[in-house]
Amino acid sequence: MWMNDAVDLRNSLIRWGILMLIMICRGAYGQTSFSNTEGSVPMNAFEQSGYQPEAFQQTETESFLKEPLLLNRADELQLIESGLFTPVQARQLVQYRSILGPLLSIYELQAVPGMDVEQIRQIRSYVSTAEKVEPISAIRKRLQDGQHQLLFRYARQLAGIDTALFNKYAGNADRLLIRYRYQYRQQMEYGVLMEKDAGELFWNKRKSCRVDFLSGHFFIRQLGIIRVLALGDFTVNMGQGLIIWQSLAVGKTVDAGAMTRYSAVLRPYHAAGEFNFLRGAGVTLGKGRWEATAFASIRKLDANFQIDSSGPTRKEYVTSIQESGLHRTMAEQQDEGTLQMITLGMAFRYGFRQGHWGMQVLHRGLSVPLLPEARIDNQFGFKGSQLTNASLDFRYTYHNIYCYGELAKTIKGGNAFSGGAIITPGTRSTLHIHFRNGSVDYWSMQTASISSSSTPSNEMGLFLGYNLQLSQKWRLAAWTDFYRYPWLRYQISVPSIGYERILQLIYKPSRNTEMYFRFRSIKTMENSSDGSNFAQAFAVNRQQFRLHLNFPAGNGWTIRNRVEWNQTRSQSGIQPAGFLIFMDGIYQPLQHPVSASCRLQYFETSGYDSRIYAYENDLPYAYSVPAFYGNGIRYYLNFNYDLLKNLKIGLRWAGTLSKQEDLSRYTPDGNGLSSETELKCQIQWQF
Amino acid sequence: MKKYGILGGFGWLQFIVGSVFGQSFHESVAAGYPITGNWNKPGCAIWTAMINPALIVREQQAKVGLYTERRFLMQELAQYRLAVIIPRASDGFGFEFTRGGFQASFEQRFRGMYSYRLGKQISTGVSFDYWQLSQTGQKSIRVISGALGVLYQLSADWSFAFLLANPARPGSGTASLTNRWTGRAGIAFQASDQTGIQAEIIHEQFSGTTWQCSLEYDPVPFLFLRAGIRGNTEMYWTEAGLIKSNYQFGLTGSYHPVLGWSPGLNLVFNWNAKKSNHVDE
Repeated sequence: MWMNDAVDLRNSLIRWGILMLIMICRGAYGQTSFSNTEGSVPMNAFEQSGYQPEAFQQTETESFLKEPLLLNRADELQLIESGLFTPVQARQLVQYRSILGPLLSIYELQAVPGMDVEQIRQIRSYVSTAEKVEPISAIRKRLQDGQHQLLFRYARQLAGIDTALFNKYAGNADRLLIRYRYQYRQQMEYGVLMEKDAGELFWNKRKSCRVDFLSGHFFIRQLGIIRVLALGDFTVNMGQGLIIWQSLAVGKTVDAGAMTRYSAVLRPYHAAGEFNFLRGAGVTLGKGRWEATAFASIRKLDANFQIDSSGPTRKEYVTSIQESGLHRTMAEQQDEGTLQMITLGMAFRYGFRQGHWGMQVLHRGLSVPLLPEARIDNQFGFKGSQLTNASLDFRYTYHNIYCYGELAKTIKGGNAFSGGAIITPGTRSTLHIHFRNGSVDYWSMQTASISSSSTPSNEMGLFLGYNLQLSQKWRLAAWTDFYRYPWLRYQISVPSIGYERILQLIYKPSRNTEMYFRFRSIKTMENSSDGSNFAQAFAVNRQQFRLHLNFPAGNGWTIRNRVEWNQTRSQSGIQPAGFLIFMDGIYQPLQHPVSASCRLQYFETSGYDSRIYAYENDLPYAYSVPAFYGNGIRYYLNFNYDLLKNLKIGLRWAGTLSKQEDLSRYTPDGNGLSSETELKCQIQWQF
Repeated sequence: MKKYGILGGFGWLQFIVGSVFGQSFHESVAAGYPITGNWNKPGCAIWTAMINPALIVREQQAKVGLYTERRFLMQELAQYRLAVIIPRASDGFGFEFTRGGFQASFEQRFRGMYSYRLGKQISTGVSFDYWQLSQTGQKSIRVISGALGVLYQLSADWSFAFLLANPARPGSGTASLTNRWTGRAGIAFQASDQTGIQAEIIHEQFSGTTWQCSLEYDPVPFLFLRAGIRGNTEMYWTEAGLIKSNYQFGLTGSYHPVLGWSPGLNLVFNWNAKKSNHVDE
């Protein structure tokens, strides 16, 4: 007993010492700064990859303002799902707690590897080190004491509508989203979402559910042995995303901690995307260190349905599955819901102090076979109506090394592996190594593993990333990724290789002031442009440069500027180039009901190949990373006003004045210019 | 306190981004036409502020500048500029009148500028230009344009600037002007009391992306030497000048490999030169 007391006393002294040191040295930095200019790690990664995050559900941290996340009580998954911690940070925090006990102050987070002062400042309003135990409430209390939220968003393009195009659409140019959500802490939530895109019918009499997109979910956690119960729409995330990953996942980025995958298997779905979710029921049971999940889903997908009557028997099949969720034209409406997919899956996890290991099985059954267009590059692709995957995954922390990985197999198909290690060799640096290998006959759907292409198959790659805190103000981040495609890919007629490299120098002299310079180099292979030489592909080198500044201007104002340009060198003789510059003004005063942001941007690229992605501020719960190409001016103004304590309104006015390559799309005004203007409004009511 | 050069410290090698006075009236001035000036230090020269209006409020004294140039040694392409800036505690104003050409064909521009200090380290500014192109026997052409600039003073030695503008440029046809969008981002570094460098990237609509960099060296307090180079299209320029009391006098020269030399004279008057023209460290 006295031994335990001595250890406790020693730990307590160590922690108090750490805390005192932190309080004295407020300017100190942690091992690695993960702070990010755009305010969120995914944005940077999306700008690199061209991801459109609108289809994914966003973590809404506002609920933590009312009920702060309890740092000393939340388990690893709760920390990750809060959106405030990366998987690696959550792992480090849990391990820190297990060694040194509960945190005494949120500033003690500085002693947790991977956390820094800036991030603590960002999250301090959402977290608490209070020792209170969050009660596991009865169902009735959960149903009565939660918070309701109603969100109404309307958008319409005011100018620049292509009337000829819209004449072919079934609906008008309005975009509409209505969402109701009820949430009781992290223990229960349910909600309904209705949405229509421009050109779609909101109320379609031909459909059974009438609304173009209708989604609903019921989610409950911590119900005895039932850790999670999901009904309706939900997402499934397994391992490192080799067999399925439907929630938000960032690609290759300088932030090593954000790249790794770890999540609860079942998560509620309340986004407007119409593809990446399952519809049915799922349950996670847990006892001690064991956890088992089972789920079943049946839903319809949009697919290009075909009938082959040439043979003796009538043959039905689909050639491709549509992911856009658009039902505007007659053709798109004919594709709607033509494929029924049944998904069944199970997952087992065993957790321990240093990590976990798990096993997953996923089966998909299609109502008609998927038979893609016969091309030489997809001759090893999935064909058929039954697809079964199984995988093993693990995470393990040994001293300052965090290892993770997943090994997956397609039944009657190939194998895939994705895994690596994050090493913190010193107090100022982080090294990330990731290896992946997917055979050409490894098949899966709705995945989000770390890779250069959209699927893990037909790719072998090695990622090396390094973060170095040069001084209190300077940080260097660099990564390189080599990859090889053993088989042909779409529009690449030979097995190919490539690489991607990023070097980023970040200067952060004060709390809100940040500047970085980024150099990115990409080498890929592309087919000959004339198309006559089938097996002729050549290397294409792209270089991108970016200078970004973020400066507080006082009185709630922040000024943000960026200039980015790129150039391409290839043997084809075509040398695309692009340039983009923007100026932002962001007004976010404390304790004031009004906030606003605006942008003026100029861009010019010689084509789509030299497009530039730029993150845009939007109304709450919405943002986008559009690709800019062609030539034009982009502007927007966002205005948010807290009309009442629980009633918030937002307005957005955005427009593009551009000159595109394809002038035939636009109403000519003599100069080939097109003007597009969009108005968006949003009302958010909490009660 | 550092001594930042002789007049306006780092301001030199002016660079007329918005000038309609290109290599000829009806040819593209895709490369702009670098003369003198840059955008770096507070206390920069007046011609720098004519490019990025955010610099005006960083000045500590009112200034008047006169500049004349004989482009490519041709009398028909002579250019004359008169500029005034009036900085105040938290904002400032500027005006410029430019005229070029000859009696039968000339262009002129009037520019009004306003600059505002957003914080200790940031200032911003806007400018509005009224351009006029007149040719004998043809109707006069008028264009209005604008610019928005931001200057970040990261430290006493480092500064960054961004500019978005749509200056008038020669258009198609015999006599026309059209607005071209231009984006610029620059960085400046004061390496020592005598030496400073700056570089920037410039993109003008339909003309691709180019760069320019330049260097200033002040061997003695009353003498300054400046030189710079620009990428596509290639251009070199230099200036040597003297400081005497409230006046600065400089001889400028720029060289285009095809079109030749363009000599110029630069005269600047500082209202109260006894006060420091620069920011204390």
